[in-house]
Amino acid sequence: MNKNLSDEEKLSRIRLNSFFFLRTDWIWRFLEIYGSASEILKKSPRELVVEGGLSFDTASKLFDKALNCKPDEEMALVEKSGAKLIFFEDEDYPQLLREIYDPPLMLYVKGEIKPKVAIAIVGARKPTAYGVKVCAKLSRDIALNHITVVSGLARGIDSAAHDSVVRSNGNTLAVLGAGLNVLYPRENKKLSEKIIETGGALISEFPMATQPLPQHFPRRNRIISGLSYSTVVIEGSYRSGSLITAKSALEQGREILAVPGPIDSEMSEGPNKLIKEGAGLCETAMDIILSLPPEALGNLNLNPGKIKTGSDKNKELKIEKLNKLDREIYEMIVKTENGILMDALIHKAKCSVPDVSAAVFELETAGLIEMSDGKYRESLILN
Amino acid sequence: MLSKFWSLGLKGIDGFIVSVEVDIASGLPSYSVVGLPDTGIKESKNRVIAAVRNSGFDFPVKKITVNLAPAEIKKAGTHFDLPMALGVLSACGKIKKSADDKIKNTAFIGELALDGSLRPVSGVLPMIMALKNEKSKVKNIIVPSANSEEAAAAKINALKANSVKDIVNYLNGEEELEVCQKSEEVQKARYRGDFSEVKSQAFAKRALEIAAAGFHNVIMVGPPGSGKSMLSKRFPSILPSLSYEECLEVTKIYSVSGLIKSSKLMSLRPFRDPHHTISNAALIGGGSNPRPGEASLAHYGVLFLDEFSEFSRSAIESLREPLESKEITVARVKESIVYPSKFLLIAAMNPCPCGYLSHPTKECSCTPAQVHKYRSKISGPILDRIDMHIQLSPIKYDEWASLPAAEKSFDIKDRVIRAIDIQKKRFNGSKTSANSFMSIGEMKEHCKIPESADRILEIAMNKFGFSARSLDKILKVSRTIADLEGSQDLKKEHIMEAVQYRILDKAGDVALKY
Repeated sequence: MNKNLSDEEKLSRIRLNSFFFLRTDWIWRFLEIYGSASEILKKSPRELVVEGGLSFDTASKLFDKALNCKPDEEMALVEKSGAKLIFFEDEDYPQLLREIYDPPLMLYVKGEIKPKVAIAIVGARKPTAYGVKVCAKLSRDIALNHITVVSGLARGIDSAAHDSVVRSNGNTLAVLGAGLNVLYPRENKKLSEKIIETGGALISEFPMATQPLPQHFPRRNRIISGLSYSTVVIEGSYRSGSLITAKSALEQGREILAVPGPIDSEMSEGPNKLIKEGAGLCETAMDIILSLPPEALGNLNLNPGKIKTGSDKNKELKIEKLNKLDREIYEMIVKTENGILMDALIHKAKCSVPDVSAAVFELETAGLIEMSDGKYRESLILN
Repeated sequence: MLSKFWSLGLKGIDGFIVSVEVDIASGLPSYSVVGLPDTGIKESKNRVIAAVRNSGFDFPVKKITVNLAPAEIKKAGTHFDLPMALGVLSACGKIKKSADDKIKNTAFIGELALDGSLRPVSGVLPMIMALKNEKSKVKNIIVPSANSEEAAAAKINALKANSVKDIVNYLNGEEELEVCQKSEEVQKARYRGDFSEVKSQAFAKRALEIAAAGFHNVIMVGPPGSGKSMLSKRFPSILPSLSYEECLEVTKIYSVSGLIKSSKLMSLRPFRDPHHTISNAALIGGGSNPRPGEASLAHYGVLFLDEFSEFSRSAIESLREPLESKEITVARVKESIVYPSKFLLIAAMNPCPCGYLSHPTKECSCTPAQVHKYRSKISGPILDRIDMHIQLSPIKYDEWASLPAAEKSFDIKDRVIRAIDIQKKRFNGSKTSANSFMSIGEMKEHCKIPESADRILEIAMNKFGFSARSLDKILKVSRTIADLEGSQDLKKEHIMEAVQYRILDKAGDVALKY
């Protein structure tokens, strides 16, 4: 460690990394045996079988892939898309990730990984409204305390977490299950741009043009948990990928927390199971912060007594300023579970359409409520 | 022997005068029609021969040539049967010389049955209108009895007849024909359904009132059972009544399409709701023998496209032309035909493929990708032409039961007409007829943003990411809201309300993300 890699070695590493079928702990083992990636590539598959214990099939595939790989082109792609490569040996390789037993050989990074305290928030791709709400709240509060939120940019909870952090001007890292040039899911393009704008980063272990295949995601999940001190699971069924992330966090010796859900919802199966098995129960950002090890808390200069949460004065001030009707309508909206439609609002408030429209407009532009799918609900983000 | 009778042809929804010339010469017996007739006209040969025989005349066994002039325009339709039969009869001397005066200023249309009686034809009104417009000497017309009410609507000297025999007798001065009488029932026509039958949906109803007042296109998003169709079907009842000229224009289109069943003037605003499997040609018009499509049949009325995102993409895109230019040009190699199509588009769609995305009680089972794909079928350019977006939701029973009876269409219509009168005054002398058609120049003049709202618009644009085009729509809709209120100037409140009718813009990517 701490030795800078030669250019040739870098290229060889890229070659080795192109065979991402193999778990990296195997590659680390060979690196230990042979000293460098360039040396490994000089061997024959047979030697890896005899000396390394790899199956012949895998070994020949490894050589096949590695020797056909064009690292120069790969480097050009990285440069062209404004990304960069961080090798394990580089100084800015995240320390926490270094400590896991199968750290990636290298990371493709777009944006910046700031050496800070990070926690992971992962969860269902099809969450319930409850899950999204809780996720947005937790992520916002975590971000307000200058803790980085790591997630996977997947649909659902992942996106909600990133979005909430970005809108609170916090720092967030997105670890992808595809190459950086293949943004998946596509509808998150804007979000991914915002992540970079707000000082976060998109991270991937896979070569630039790798497609998002199902088998990539468990591999990606170990990086999510590996970057983080704690992993929080919000919603997910028994078969959920979030449980894989939780499992790898466990293997890495990291803290696991789960947000409990109603017992009759399929989406609560995963987190409730984790809690049953001993995961921490997470209700507020405080729970997450308290799960951090002392060195992380020291790093943050965070005094557990001074944890910030989003429901601060700013919002109360804004609410105080509202006129009577606006306030009534605001309270009506806050009371509803899943948001309320304009129509129902008019019906409840017993006011004319123009009056309610004006009130909703005021509340929306003040950032107190927001609308999606035609429903107005309390805004969890304030800025 | 030669004879010449006047008849009429159709091009698009406009008629033109055709002279039907018949020549009978000695030679091998034959019957040929020249002058670009279509197959329907060529087939008329057998009908003409049988009808003439069965009316008690001998059919001349000679060489007969029928010419339809002007010969370079394509002609179609079975209504040439009558003038052809009369031409044959006149050429072989069955019609007296004294009838020449009558023949010279009368046009004849009608399809023949084999027994010599007359059958109704389509396109009567637009053809007759040609007699009204052109400087032709032909001022009278004889139509089949079944078409008499439609003919009467044109306010021209129209006579009706039941058979060829009647007409021959009339020409020979032996009998008189009845004048076509206008039906009294026209005034009694009523729309089906009334807004008072729709309880709740105050927001949507208000939106539709604004849409009617400013002729704004609307898209409604809501789960099944939220009342999208119910509201749309009642929408024509709050539109102002058609003027006589507008009635005529609508009737012309329906007449050409052969859709006038009771031969009456169409006095109600059309409501067309084609199924989503409709072909492009059926939607906007066309075909090898061009016919008006649904977009033209909805002229001056409502084109309601339910399940908007289920329509084929090309069908939706083909609506761009009529939405922009208010007419449709069907171009063929030999001719190009223009059909008017100034309709108000009401599109309705579910919020997602399963339909229950924003449903108060039911769970949606779609993935965000499915929802995204579903919505992306409606392209930006089409959405840009739709001024108002509204979200609907089904109402719960207890809410429904507690609601008082709603306002009647009549009262809403009253406000709509007031707002339209204001617009008429404003746009006096300009091509623009409603707020939604305002040009940029007119918008600058009539949609001055009040100082108090300047900041509001800025906030809204930053907050919701509205495009400049959305902003235009918001201002146009605000103008209509102000007109409904009778307010000369735009006020802050008008703009604030108008913003609420752009949910699809506002939703942006937020709605689709989770």
